[in-house]
Amino acid sequence: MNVIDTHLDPNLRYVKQYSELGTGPISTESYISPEFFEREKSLVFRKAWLAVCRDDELPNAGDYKVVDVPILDTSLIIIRGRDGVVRGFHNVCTHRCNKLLQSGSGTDKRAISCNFHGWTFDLTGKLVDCPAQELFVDFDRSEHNLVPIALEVWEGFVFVSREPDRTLEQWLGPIHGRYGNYFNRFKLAGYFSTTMKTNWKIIVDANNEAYHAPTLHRVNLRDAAAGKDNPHARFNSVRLYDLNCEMSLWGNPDYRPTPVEGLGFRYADRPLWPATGGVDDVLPPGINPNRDPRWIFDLLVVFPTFNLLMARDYYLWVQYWPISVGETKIELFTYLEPAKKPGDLFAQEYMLCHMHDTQREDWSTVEGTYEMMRSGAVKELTLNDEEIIIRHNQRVLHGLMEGRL
Amino acid sequence: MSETAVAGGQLPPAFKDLEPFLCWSIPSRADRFKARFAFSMDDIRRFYETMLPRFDEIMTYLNSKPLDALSPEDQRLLWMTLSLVEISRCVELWNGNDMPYYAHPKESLTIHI
Repeated sequence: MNVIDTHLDPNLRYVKQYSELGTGPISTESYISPEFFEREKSLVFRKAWLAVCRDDELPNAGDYKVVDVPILDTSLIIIRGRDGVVRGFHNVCTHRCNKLLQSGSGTDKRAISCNFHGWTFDLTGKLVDCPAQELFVDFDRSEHNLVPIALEVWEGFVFVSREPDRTLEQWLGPIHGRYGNYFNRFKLAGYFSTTMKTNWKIIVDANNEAYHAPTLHRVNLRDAAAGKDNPHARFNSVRLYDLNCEMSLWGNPDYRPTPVEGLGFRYADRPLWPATGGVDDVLPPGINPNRDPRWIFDLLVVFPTFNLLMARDYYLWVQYWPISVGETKIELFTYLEPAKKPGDLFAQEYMLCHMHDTQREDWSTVEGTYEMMRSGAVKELTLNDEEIIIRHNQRVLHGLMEGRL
Repeated sequence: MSETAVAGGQLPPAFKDLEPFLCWSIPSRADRFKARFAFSMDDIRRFYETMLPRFDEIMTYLNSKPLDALSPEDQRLLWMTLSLVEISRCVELWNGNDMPYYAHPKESLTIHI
């Protein structure tokens, strides 16, 4: 076992390990410029693979979900066909561009029918009925099928890409085969969302470092993510790849829960968030690869906006949706093992409630940061060794926009 | 919270004395979050101080029941324990209905599940 003693290492670790990222300040331009945002849309988000749902949300043929994706200037229908295949289509009738389905989800759809003139498509997107087809001139029905969007599934996550220049596997890189059957144990247990007046990267940055934990979360997390052995919540390790990255976050084994939180720890089969440890063979080798017992969770960042927090007994899917340069929606899904007894539900409830308030702390800075970046009084971000992911994400962003990645 | 609370419901016989707190028997997490702000800190403290000493008795009782076949009385009691979770930090960490410093506005949070 190769345990890295982060807290004993006084040196700058990541800026040395990843020296190509440099050590200088980062311009705020990419966070506040409307022109930059438009270029991000066309050069990054159009080509990126973006996660839109889990495939187990659509267990049966005809199950569908409508996903509005402002950053792709479209709305999508994700639907499972009779052949079991999940497909994605732009949510638009090929007749006169009516939006076919309203937001939401549903089951057992036999066909997708336009409410305007009755054009009807089967679950593979084929136009199968067009009322009074003889009234159209030189009309070939086979040329008016639904417009598909590239769709691939990884570990149950359904990804789409509008103008892919590589496969999802290539987009994911080394993490593609890393997690075994890890995700299969868990079911959706909680889901909350909000929309904030901020740039999407400001929220991603805020959630991609732990340096803030001892200050911002000083009450709710107290010393869970930092402690006398690691007062600044330094990572156990960081792993950067071409587009994506992973972090292993330190956890304090001396963390003392509050009385009710302690009841949660006691009545769970295993203590949940923010308990430390749970390192055993149930974890695939790709998660907490150093098997450090002082560990809370790993954070996977798939550029640009797909984040997973993975622990022994839960995972969180955090999805960021840019709406405009200064508006972003965030969705947070908590996945847990199905409760077997009432005590499990109680224990899980602590994690679920704690999470919405801890996130409200995380979100407390991001609107003010955007407002003050726009003031222009400070034009650069000053980053330390533990904020290396922000450098990495900037490198990926500019690399994709300049055609280097 | 009257639209979500189980008014006039009953608890299992051993916990009949907790019936004055049935207003905390709230089925959804979103409504438990709202209740945290709707009740006064005095109400919250009274509920917390009543439930905490009874907790092991409550959970030992509930854990003896199959989760998928809880009676309505058992279910109401379980929802009360989940409300205890939501308000526990008001008492244990914040001394108030919410964090005692700026946090993202509660009105902007949508709890779907």
